[in-house]
Amino acid sequence: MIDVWTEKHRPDTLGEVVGQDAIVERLEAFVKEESIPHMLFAGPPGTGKTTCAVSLAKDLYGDEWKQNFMETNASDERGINVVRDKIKNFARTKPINADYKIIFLDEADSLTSDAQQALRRTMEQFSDNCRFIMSCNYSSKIIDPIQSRCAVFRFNNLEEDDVKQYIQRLGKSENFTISEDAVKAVMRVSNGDLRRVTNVLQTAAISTDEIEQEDVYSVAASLKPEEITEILNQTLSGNFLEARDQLSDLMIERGLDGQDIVSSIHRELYNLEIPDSQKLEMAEALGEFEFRITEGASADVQIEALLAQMASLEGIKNQ
Amino acid sequence: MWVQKYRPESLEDYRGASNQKKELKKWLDNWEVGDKPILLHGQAGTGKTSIAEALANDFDLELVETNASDVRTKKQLKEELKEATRQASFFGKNKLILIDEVDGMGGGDRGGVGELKTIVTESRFPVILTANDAYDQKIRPLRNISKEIKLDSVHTNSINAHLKQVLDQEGIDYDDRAVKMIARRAGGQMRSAINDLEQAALGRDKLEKRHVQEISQRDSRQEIFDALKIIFKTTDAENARQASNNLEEDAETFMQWVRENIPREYKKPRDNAEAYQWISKADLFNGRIRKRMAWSLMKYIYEFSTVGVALSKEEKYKGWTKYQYPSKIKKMGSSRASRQKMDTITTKIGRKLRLSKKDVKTDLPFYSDLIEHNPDLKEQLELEEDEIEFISKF
Repeated sequence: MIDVWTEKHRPDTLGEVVGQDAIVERLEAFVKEESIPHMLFAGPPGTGKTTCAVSLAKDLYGDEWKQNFMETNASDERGINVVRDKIKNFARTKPINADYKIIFLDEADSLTSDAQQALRRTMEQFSDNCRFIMSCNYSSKIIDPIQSRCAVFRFNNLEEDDVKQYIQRLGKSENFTISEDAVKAVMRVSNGDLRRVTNVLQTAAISTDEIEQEDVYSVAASLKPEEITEILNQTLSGNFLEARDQLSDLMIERGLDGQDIVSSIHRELYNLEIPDSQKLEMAEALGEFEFRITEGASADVQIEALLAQMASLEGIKNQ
Repeated sequence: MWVQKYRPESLEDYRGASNQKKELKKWLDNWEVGDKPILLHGQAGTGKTSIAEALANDFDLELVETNASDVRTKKQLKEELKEATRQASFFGKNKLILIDEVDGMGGGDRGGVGELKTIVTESRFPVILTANDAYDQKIRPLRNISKEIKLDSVHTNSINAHLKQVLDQEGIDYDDRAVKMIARRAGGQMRSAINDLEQAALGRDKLEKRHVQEISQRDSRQEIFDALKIIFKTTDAENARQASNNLEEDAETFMQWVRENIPREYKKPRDNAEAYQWISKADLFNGRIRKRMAWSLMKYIYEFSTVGVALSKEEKYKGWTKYQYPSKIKKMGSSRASRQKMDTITTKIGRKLRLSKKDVKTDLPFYSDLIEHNPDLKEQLELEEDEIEFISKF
């Protein structure tokens, strides 16, 4: 057992999955009929895609689930060939007490469309004794030939009531209580992402077993890299070179993800001590730079350009 | 050598720099003992020496010249230059003292600058000092006692006209485009333009484009520091565009060099922000090239990094900037080990918790907190001591 709540409290059966009632009902029916199609799970992070895939395998195979279920994360594997080899090796052996094995390909939308074409052939090649479940954030990033071979399930952000129930359940088994306001705060900082909800609560519970609103906010603040605030403040007080140096330490030496930093800056923007109109101006600039990153530009250069822009706002003191 | 042969005899023949010429004439017309010397500065090949020579000619002065190739120790200065600044001319003329390339005084010229300062202030004749870089720390004592006149790099059109005049006088026919090509390549330096012209045209009946192309292939490579200096100091699009010619660095590395040094040169936040906009666009094109193998877009990386950045300044910054090696490239090299460690750690945790490496990376501050309060996790996640230490920094 691992003392990380997201894993410790991951459901063992579809019946325990939080929310997504309609989807769970369908999946349970597949298990009952012992007839599983290829499936595509689409939806934002922390809405239960991985959990549903694993729970389905446990329900379907019972004790032999580990032998019949393979999970691989497309964003971690270097290229489609690695994925193919892994799939081939797994598919070569016969399923145990079942008609087919399940291959779960997490974050399939991180594969290029060429890699997806190759994956489609792999799916066909092994469809006799393998079923594929793929997960993605946006189904539009999955090529049509794959989508058309799959039953597509759309996972929505969790309902507030579902999350509330989950929090109470968690409190009972981990021995903490939580106030109404604190629950609302958790909802706000997590955007209905159950992994964030769980992480925030586990961190808060380190220091108290009666969680209040302030605890939640201070934990949420501590879970983002504090250097971002520092970098923005350096920029606004005219120390551009200093800010630039810290940014590159963060991104290059410590290897933080550019997209995460962009999101942090976006969150911080509205806490900065600059006029509202300038906040909007910066948001617009940030939007443009973020777009350029998706177009293939490098995050460190683009974020640096944003800082340069910020340093040139009117009324900023300079060296 | 054509450079010698076609030196301007008179200020009239010297192309451009009309304000500077006026100033020099005025200074010499009114000169009295005790007046400030002139510190004439500008990049190599802009004609600092030529203008001084032409001035001496126009005023019928004997030009006493000393330059960087002479040893300028204190002793030598005392013996030779001091005499020259005191004694009347041999030929009964007045003198103009030209001390060339004062910023070129090396370590061997110990005490030279101090001595020079004394000699210059006590001179009985007008003195012109020249320097490539007037803001070199070494010559600050000289700068403080001088009147500065700056020669800008020569405009391509002026170079073009002068080259044609030389060819006419040599009786060599030419293709206009060939001459223009030489003028453009010179980067504002008249001297190198004339040298190139001589190399390409000497002994021919007509100068053709291909003759110029032949010599450009033999051209030595441009140093990156020179390129940066041109980009940051010029406000002329054409000059800036030339800066990336013949560089050894590839487009992306070159862009990193420019990026590194923007805030070192451009102190005004507005200039800095605008220059960064151009680097951002250059970087965007780099991304597009990689994504789509669209190599023909390469020219825009160069163009934005040179012309874009050069034109981002309201006005030139005075002074000398120490350009530096791109810290991104430096850090990428030195941080390889830590990036590998990050990769191992996120893979390990990701496998245990069914998360992608990216998810783990995003939540590292959370795992750092947890591990700190629950030592058991080290074993549960199968982490090594050094990995725990790495995570604790988040």
